[in-house]
Amino acid sequence: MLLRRLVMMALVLVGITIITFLLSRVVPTDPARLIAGPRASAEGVAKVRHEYGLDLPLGQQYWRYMANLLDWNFGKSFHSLRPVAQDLADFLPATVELTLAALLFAVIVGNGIGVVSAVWRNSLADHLSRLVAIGGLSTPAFWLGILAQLLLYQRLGWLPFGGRHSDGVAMPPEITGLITVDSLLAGNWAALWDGLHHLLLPALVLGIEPMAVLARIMRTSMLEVMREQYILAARAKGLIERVVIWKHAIRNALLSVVTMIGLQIGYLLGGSILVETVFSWPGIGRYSARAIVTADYNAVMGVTLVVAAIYLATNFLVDMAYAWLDPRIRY
Amino acid sequence: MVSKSQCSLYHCGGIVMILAAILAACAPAAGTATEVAPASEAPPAAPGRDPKTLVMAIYSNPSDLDPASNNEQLGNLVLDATTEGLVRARGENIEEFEPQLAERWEHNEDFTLWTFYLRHNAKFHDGSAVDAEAVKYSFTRLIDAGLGMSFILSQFISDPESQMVVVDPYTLEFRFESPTPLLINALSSGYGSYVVSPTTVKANEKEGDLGHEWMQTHEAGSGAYQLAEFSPNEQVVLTRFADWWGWDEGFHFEKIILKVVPEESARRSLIEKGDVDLTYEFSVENLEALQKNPDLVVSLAPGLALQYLVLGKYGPLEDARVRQAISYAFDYDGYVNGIYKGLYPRAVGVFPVNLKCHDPQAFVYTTDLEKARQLLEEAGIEPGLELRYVTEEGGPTSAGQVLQTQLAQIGINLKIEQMDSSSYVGIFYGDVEWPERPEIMAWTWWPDYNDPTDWAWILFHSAASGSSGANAGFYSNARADEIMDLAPAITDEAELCELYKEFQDIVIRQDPAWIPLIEPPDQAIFRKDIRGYQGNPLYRGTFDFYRLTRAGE
Repeated sequence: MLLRRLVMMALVLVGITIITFLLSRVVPTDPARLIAGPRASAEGVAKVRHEYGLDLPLGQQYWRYMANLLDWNFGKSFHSLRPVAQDLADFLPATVELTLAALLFAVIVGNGIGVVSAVWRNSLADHLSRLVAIGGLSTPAFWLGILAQLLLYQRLGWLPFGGRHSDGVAMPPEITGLITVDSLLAGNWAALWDGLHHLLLPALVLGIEPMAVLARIMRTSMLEVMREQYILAARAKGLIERVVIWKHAIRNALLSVVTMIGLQIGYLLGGSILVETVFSWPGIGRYSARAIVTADYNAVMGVTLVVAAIYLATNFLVDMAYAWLDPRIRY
Repeated sequence: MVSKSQCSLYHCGGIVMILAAILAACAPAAGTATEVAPASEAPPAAPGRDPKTLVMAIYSNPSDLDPASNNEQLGNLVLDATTEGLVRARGENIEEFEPQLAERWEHNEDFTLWTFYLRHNAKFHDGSAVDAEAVKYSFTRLIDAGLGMSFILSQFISDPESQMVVVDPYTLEFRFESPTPLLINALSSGYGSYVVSPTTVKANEKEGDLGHEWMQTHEAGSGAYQLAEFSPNEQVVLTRFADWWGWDEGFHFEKIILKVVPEESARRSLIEKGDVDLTYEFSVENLEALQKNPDLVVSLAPGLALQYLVLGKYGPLEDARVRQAISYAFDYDGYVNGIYKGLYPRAVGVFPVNLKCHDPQAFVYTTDLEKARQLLEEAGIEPGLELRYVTEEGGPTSAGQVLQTQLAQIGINLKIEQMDSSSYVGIFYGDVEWPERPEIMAWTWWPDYNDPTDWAWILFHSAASGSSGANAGFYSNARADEIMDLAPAITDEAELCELYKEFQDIVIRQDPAWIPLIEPPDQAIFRKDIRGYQGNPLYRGTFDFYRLTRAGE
């Protein structure tokens, strides 16, 4: 089953390369002219076109790209002028760090709100929780981010405007590329504190919508589970309410939530573009946004492949999690 | 089931929360008085900041540091600090030159021989000496690379080996068959004419690329600052080059940090809070607000950039009267004073005001819809004509909207389109013909150096159409071409300007190529304690960091 799943994932990735490749070439663009600049002669532009292989037939371009992929060579970015693999290695950790932090916030707070909301249904806590959830769903991350910066950075001075770290703070040796993790591993508490300080606001802004979604899903799921006969039986057996909720209700409610968590990874990776722009977070979101408007084919394909691979892997893990949550599910 | 009242509670409650947050954020911050503080009360650097470090917020990542190919302002921002040319425009002046790597220079009477005498104490950042061989190598590399900026010197030098002669280790001659008075202008350009270390470049050559790949992300200059860190999309750090020939005993910044902050509102927050010392690239609305901040100085210095609408000389616009009609229809006052709030001056003619041979008496269109209708009638254009206005993402859609409103009143339907940069550039600099080619396109241009032919040829010459230049409107006028062909050999400035006076009248009044709109000034917004800023229109987007100081240091 595992082998079949891995083969399917590989085929999906190949399909994505074909679609992305064709879509990027269909748009009438001239990245060679953009790279060479407005003053370049026709010969200069042709030189750039040749350097990037843009003068080859489409089929040959695709074949060359796929052959290079086997060497982990994603080609050269038209904008950064560096290997795309190097760009991804530089920018991906920042996005992973932001996404994980946002996801952690969304999962903990969202599920917590959902449980509270369901357990104390129609109470003040329920109303407040649902208010927060709707607020989170209704507020565009871009707008919220700018507002948060105005309030928490400019007016109150509580948090930095953005970026990953402050000048003057010694950075830990790079192991994972995640400043918080690397700081922890190196025991560099100043860098850890500084990194968390910078991570807090963008992670909260990015995580608000998934938090709201998970809160509502968890609430609905909990309400359904709490109506089940086995919950009634657990109470009838004399179990205290805390045990009923934690051991019986939440675990069963999590099945729907886990699915949604997997899907939210996709939102977080895609939604990071705007949050990274607002908070000057040097991740692949900003990198891909720039790549799209400059028709940076190689960068677009590289980002798409990496994001797709992460998404496939995440959902694979989600499927595995089902088996742990529900012993009836076996693959 | 949720009741109607509960439902509205959540939505109303959500709205209340959001409004409260807006009010809190928009409330005036303490200390933002409207009075301007006197210079002696300039606030010190923000607490915890090193006063000898200058922090600047830039809008994007510099992507190309090779002088042979870089055509972006951001690349120039770094190159201007880390590399040097032989000469530089002096201060804010674009007509005079000051020594840089060349201590002095001279030319013969007919400008066929130029001699540059280099200073003896200039060094590259790798420790090697800047000598005549290094200069010759740099310029030969620029020409042989055949990249975007090669034309700066390749237009004058076809045989680098024989035309650039090393007379002695610190003397270099440039030899020409015909008069070349513009060599000094080209050498002062902010594009291409930088001297790089042969030692470093050759050590990083790969497969005969003249070090191009390495140079795109590194520098090999001799400037006052050297590249210490280049974290793409994050920041660029420049540190003082101790062996630079030009240091004096006064205060100079030891470190320059260029932080990449793409979001305009974030740049504004940073400069207002004092977490950066310098920034730029703001919309008119933000500029207005920044001007009211007593802790900031907002400089909008006249530059050499010009924003314009190309009127394609094809299709329904082939007749000059139709282009004249469109020129009469545009609402100039509405655009300059409404959209740009009077902060950006209106362009006068097709040359920037500061460009050599600009004609201050150049014909200026007024908004006259009646005249426009009359011209259309004479040209036989019936009401209902459809035209396309295309601009790139981030381009002036407002100009299109203004024009659309005006043209509707004279029976022309204008469709506005916005494209991503790459697609737009592909069309603008491409060879696609009408009707696929839009009739009206928006663009902004600035010259490589202060010369009317450098400006005009690439924009208006018939040989510069499509992929051969930047003549996106496929403009062609025999007399205009003739003037541009004659001009390079003319050494008398009065004679040159007389010719270009005629040129400007042709291109704007008789046979319009453009609607010139505004001249965007060179922006610089800095904290009041930063002194010494001296912008030069030739070096748009650079800040001559060596000259900047901090009050009280």
